[in-house]
Amino acid sequence: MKQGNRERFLVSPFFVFFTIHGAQLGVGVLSFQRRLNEIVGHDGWISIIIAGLAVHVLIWMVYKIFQASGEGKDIVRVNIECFGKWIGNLLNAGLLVYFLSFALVVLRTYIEIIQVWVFPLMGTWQFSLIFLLLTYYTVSGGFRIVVGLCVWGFIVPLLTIFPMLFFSLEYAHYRNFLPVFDHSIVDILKGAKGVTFEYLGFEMILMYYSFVKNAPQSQRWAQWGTAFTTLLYLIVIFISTVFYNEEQIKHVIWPTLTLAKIPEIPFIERVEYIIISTYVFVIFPIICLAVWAVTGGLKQMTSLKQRKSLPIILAILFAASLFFNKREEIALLDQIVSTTGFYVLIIYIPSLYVFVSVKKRFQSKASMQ
Amino acid sequence: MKRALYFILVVTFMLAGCKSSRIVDQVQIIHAMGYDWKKGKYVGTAIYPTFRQGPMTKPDILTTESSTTYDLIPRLSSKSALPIEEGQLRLVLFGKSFAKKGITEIVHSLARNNKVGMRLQLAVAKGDAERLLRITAETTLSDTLYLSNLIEQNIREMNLPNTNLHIFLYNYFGKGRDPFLPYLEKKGNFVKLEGLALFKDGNYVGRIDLRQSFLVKLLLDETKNGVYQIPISKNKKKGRVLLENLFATSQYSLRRGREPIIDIHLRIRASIRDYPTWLDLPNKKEFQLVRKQMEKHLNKDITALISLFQKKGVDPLGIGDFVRSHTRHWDEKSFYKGYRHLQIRPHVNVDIIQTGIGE
Amino acid sequence: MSIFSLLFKSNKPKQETKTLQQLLDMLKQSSDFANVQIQTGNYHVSIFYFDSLVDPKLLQQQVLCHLQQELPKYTSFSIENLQQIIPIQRIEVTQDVATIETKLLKGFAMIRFADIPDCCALVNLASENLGLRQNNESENEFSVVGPKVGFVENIGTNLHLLRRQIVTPNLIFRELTLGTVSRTKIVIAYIEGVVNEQTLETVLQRVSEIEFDIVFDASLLDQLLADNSSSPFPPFVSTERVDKAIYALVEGQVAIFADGSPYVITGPSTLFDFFTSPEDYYLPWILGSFFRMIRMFGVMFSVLASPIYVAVLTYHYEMIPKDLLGPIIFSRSNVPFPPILEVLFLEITIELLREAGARLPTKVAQTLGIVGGIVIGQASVEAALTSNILLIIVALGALASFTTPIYKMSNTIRFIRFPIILFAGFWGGLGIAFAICLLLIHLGKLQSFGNPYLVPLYPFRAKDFADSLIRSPYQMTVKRPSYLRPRLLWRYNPKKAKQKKDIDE
Repeated sequence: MKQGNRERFLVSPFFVFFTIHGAQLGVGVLSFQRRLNEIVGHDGWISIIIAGLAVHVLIWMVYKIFQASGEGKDIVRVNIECFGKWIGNLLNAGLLVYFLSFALVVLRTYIEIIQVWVFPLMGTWQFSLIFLLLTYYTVSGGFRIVVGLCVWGFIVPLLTIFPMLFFSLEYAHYRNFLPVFDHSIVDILKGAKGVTFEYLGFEMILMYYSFVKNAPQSQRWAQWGTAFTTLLYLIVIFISTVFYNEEQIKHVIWPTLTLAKIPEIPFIERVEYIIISTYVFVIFPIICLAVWAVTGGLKQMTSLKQRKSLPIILAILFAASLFFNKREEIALLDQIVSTTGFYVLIIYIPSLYVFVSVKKRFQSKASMQ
Repeated sequence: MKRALYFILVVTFMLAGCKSSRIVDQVQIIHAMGYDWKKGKYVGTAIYPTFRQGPMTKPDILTTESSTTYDLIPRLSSKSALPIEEGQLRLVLFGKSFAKKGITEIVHSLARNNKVGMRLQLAVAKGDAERLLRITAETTLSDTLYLSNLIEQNIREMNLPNTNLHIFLYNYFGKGRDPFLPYLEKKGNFVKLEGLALFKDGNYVGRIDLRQSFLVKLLLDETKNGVYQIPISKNKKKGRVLLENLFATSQYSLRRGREPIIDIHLRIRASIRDYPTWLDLPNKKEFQLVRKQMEKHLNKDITALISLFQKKGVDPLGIGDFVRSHTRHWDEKSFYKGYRHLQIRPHVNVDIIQTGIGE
Repeated sequence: MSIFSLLFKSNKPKQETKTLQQLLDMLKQSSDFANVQIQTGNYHVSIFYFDSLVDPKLLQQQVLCHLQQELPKYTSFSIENLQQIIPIQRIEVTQDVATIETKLLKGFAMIRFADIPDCCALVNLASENLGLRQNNESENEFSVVGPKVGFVENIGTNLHLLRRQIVTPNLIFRELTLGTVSRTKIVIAYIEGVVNEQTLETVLQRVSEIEFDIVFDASLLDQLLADNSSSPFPPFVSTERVDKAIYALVEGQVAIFADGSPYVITGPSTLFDFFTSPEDYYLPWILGSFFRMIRMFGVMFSVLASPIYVAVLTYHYEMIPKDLLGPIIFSRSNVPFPPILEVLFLEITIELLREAGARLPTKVAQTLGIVGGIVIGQASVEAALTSNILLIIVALGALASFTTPIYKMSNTIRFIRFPIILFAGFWGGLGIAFAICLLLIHLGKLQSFGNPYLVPLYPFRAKDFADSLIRSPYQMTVKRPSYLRPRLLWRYNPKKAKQKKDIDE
């Protein structure tokens, strides 16, 4: 590929906002209040702020890693340069498997929601098939189209789902926030760890960093994207804290969806059905982004063409989505992937950052002499 | 390759289309459901509309008996030509004996059911739920939504505090609060709202009348309506004034100490709709007199109501929840041990804003 | 691409080189090919032309008359001097047989002197307007306010209409010939110094690469030029309104005219271009914006109303409010079909009515529309084939789709309804979301002359929203839309427009 031609496939730094935010906001936002509530009760909002700040720092590290290792490189190259061919490629493969299972978790969890709420009789394979066909259509259009989908995944839910949440303030009990800091610091930090799972997905920037025009300048937008995610989580946790009490929320599996049972517009009731449907716009960008990242990574690693690897990856996803059927299995899968993701975040990225910056200092010293 | 993909897509559609459909005119949409406990058996009554005669609905009734509550709806299905769907359920009515026995099972099942809406009304019937539902179906009322509309109307315009499934679950699951439901009674060929039924852990423990339910409404949230009659006297003349609530706010405060005291500051902006002719309201002095008497009466009634709650050991006002929000590491059990003797002092402040357009 | 075009070129039948005599022999087979021989003075002149293409008045008065009177005056006359005696512009002298062939077929007369048989003069005698209408009231894109002039089938008239309003030397016409059989004259118009060079290059390249036999209409070009031909969405605006074409040119777009077509293609277009009507610009901006938004709402309603009906009635009866439940169930209670068939039945009925109305003469069509609409609608409700609520929804949806000013787009809108109805029938609300998602991805993939179709939504251009969803006042639209990457960003001097006065000044 010629360098001048490549310009056509890049996206403006501004769009990093949508990719970061879109990847972070997934199925978790439908149910994270419950998990958070078990650990920190009504003080969950503090944990969210802490987790959000941590993610800001991690994004800063990611940008530092790329800046230190030079222009136009993606994580595959960085890994190989830092850790040698063998370990580097092992890490790369690990990352790709992680991204793939990330897509799988999102897909399977959403299908589960559809099956529980709307179509109890429909098989997983039907949903998974139509989802993956659409994914094929999107990803085959290239990164720009995937990013375009992320933009729609931001606008459409913001206009349809988001306003619906505020209807439930009709039943707000603002007292539920009191007393503030009713839980120990340890609990709050534990809660923050739990919430970090909800920020997973932004690490895909490791893969698409080299597809951003003036990539270093996009950090501002990446940080804004995360800030917006934090804001959204804060709003959701705020609304659910005043709407439910701590005991009640334990009996609700998807508190955000149950919130949506409240709004009544003159010509439509039971908005949760609309929300579940529109949630396609939230889920799709994540799956497409992850699948794109995997095929792109494969291309870098093995020079396998994306057009060829894409159907294979989708077939794997399809088969895997059929494999997990019971609720416990899905929950277990979710747990494994989010724990892995957590360690990717707090061990891999910081250590890579330290490694790269030490190496750079070393090199610059060597060149000085 | 592409052709095969299209083929798969089409087949998927074909297969997917047949399942899961619940076409609106091919299901039996039930509007209200009644639960009773009669002679050692559970009785379930469903009331559903039929639309065959024109835009007017004709209510129909299905009843069935069972030894458990779980299979009442499946059993109803065995009597029905179309599959029964509870997605448009607007009211669940419990017979008093059923409510005494405990409504926990039904409530948990409703909380789990994704089909029912959160604005569903729950209510308790004096006597049988079935008989009340039959009135709405078989008399001139002939409206499947009569009871739920009645409750909603009273919430909106009159003395009934806001209730629905969500509020019930909030009170039921929440620590430091107990649920309450509207209490309905049969009066001739009509149904009458007769106050609030009080619950403790899902069991009916007693009821209060409609006047008192106005006080509950005032004490719970900001409210904008409701009427209350207050006796008034001047120079040995006795009469009553009718107070119409325009906007009321209640504010709780906790005074800590060895024996905590809870102060409830209640501010009512009201209009006086009707008053005896001998009362000269434009006169400032008399106006103040009426105000003072009203505040005194309200204070007295509220104190009586709260001590009734304390005696029964129920907490529909959420006093416990209030104390929790002002106490670190609040403990439910130890609080309710002392609940009976907790000092709760109402301070009512009535602002009379208008007295109608004539004098 | 270039490899492919080479391949195709080698497959083409080879152009045989003919001599002039062979050409004439071939043409003589046709009975309308005339050969007039005259002998004036020393000269023996033969004139060849197609009777059916040539204006006989011109031939007699300007050619024959002058030849007979003037020619004997000269002693030695060379064919190059023909211009001196024939008062017709642009007489061409050539030996090239191919040129002679084309020109003859375009209505030129060939004049040959017997002493130099290889050299011919070509005189334009074509009767330009024979059989063509003189004016066009732009009835298909009607606007109550504003000029009513529309383009006609004659390309000369069309170019004239353009030149009259764009009075600048920068308006450039580039002429090409397209079609192996029709040899249609194609003109690409643009304003030099405004249009983006890259776009222009793409257009010129695309047009010159077209291989086709007959260009009946500009709409054909529209499809041949498209970036992705398997899309239901029209890639370019095609309009018969002069003001619309001029506005597009001024904004920095390119217009393509084809001889014989009253429609002109302008591009690169965006999705929003299809929902703007010239009337938006003639009305005050508040009204213009309001009607434009009504149109957008109409599109959304038209696309989504019947799918939502299908989805809600088939899968999500919970969503129906309690006051609406009775009427819906009652009106559907005797209908034997599931909602999806009911909707398809009615939608197809409406499409039939529309199609029949478009094919019939205007006066009959009106009657048919009313009679068909009322009678069929009423009867199918009475016969319990459809519910009357659906009848309202479908009729409104059809009505809303007709508010789209560009006919091609309104067809597209009515077409994409059907897949969405199927999706809704199979997957309920989820299916609708799927379909919209698919639609948005598809629109995101589309390009028009290499320009994204969805701009300014994606890629997002905040400044270009001034004239997309709403029609902002003229003070705010002094700049050309940036997505066209025009070479001159300002449309006119904004200084006067932006002045703001204090109260009482």
